[in-house]
Amino acid sequence: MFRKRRVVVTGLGVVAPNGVGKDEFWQATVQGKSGVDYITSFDTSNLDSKIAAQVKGFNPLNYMSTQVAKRTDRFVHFGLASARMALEDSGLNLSKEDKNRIGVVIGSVFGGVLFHEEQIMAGLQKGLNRVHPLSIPKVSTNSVSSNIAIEFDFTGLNLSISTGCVSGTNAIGQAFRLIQNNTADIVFSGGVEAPITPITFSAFCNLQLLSKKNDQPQEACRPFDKKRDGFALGEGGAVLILEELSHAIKRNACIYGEIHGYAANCGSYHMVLPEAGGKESARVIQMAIDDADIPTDAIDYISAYGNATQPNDKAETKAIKLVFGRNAYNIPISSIKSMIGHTVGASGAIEAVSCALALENNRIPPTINYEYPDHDCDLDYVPNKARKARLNTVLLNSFGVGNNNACVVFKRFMD
Amino acid sequence: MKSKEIERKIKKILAYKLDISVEKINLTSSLSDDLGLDSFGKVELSFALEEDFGINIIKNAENIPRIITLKDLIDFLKQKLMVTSRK
Repeated sequence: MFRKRRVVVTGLGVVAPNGVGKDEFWQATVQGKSGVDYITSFDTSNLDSKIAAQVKGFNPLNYMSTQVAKRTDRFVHFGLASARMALEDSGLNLSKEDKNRIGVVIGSVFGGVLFHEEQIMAGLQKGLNRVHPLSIPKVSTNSVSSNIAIEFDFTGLNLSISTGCVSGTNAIGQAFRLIQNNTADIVFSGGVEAPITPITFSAFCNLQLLSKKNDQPQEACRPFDKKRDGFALGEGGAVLILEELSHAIKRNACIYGEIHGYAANCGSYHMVLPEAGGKESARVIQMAIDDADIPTDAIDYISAYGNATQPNDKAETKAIKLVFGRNAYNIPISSIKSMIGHTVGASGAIEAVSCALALENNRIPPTINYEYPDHDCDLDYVPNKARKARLNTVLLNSFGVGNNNACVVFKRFMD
Repeated sequence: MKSKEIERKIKKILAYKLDISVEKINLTSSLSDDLGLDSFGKVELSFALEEDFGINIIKNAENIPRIITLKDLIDFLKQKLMVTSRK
């Protein structure tokens, strides 16, 4: 029988609101450290929500030249920094690699929206002939995947994925397929987003998706808790280096785990609301498990989408019960959005880094701010404290805007 | 505007765009070969000069003489500013 090529994770890079770099991020995440705080970059006085999960202490010049930093938007800074960190982490010696076989697949919803908004203001205030001529290469969503390729001279397939909040997850899934089907040997995959800008943040706020718990920013984002009232908008990025197994073994790479299954579908119900019964979300979980060719009870931990809105957390809980039945109550489930907010197109990628580190460390990160049980969300959400557990198989859930759904199954690497 | 004033302004813009010190920029410096101004850099420089000097460069791009050194650029701007002030 034809055997598909196996795909492993060999490098991680992350810029998250609670930590830059995989070590700082992981320490913060298992310690339950929140990155949510008051917004300082613009005036929020007439908005209902005044808080967000902003990346702090990040200097793009540590990862790229001044010239590149000036010509790219913040979302590309997150992508280039994550890619460079992942490359260093992987130990890859690029001078020995066939660059035609290295691809890039990165997810993002809003692209260079910070620069875009600045240029709209400039155009309205000074006249349309004062819109910056480099707006197009700076704002385009694909400028992140292209800039990563230009920076490292990767000439393989280059894709940008924009599928709402599951963009990062789909990017990893598509990268997995590219290696499986022999289109590439190595893919830099992940997601980035920098949406904490006046217009974009206000749009999220006015759509009533954001928490209004402004008094205690770090306690605002509370997935699966009865008093949840929406998420904190987040920013950041992550890149995972996916590599064909024999290629990784040949160069004696450190392997975090194997990408074992992936599936995606669309609930085709509503642009923002999840389908309340969780039917299509359940279907995509089952499809990913089937793709991994494992029994459903093999899942040791679920990294939940858990975006802390009333309808989503309820629907996700239902979907998990539909797939796992009574066993749903025995599977630890956590949402790190409780700490890093919802980083939109980056969320699946940052959560994938968390899954890889959970496998490596046999630790399950907590869902922080869990205080009041909700009878509609009655599973084990690993409340407030990280947990030690032997993990072999981890499921990443992403269910987002436009009813896009995607799941990835990670497995401990075994020969 | 005097040559020295134009020179000071352009050097400041170039130093910022190219992330180099003003001292490294001479009148005879070739913008591309010595200072490393690439195609994006030229577009950015034109845009910044338009802002700072209140003139229109890009619109009349076909009439721009061959500009190689900083001195060429200053001469071009001096002429452009003279025409603008006469209008």
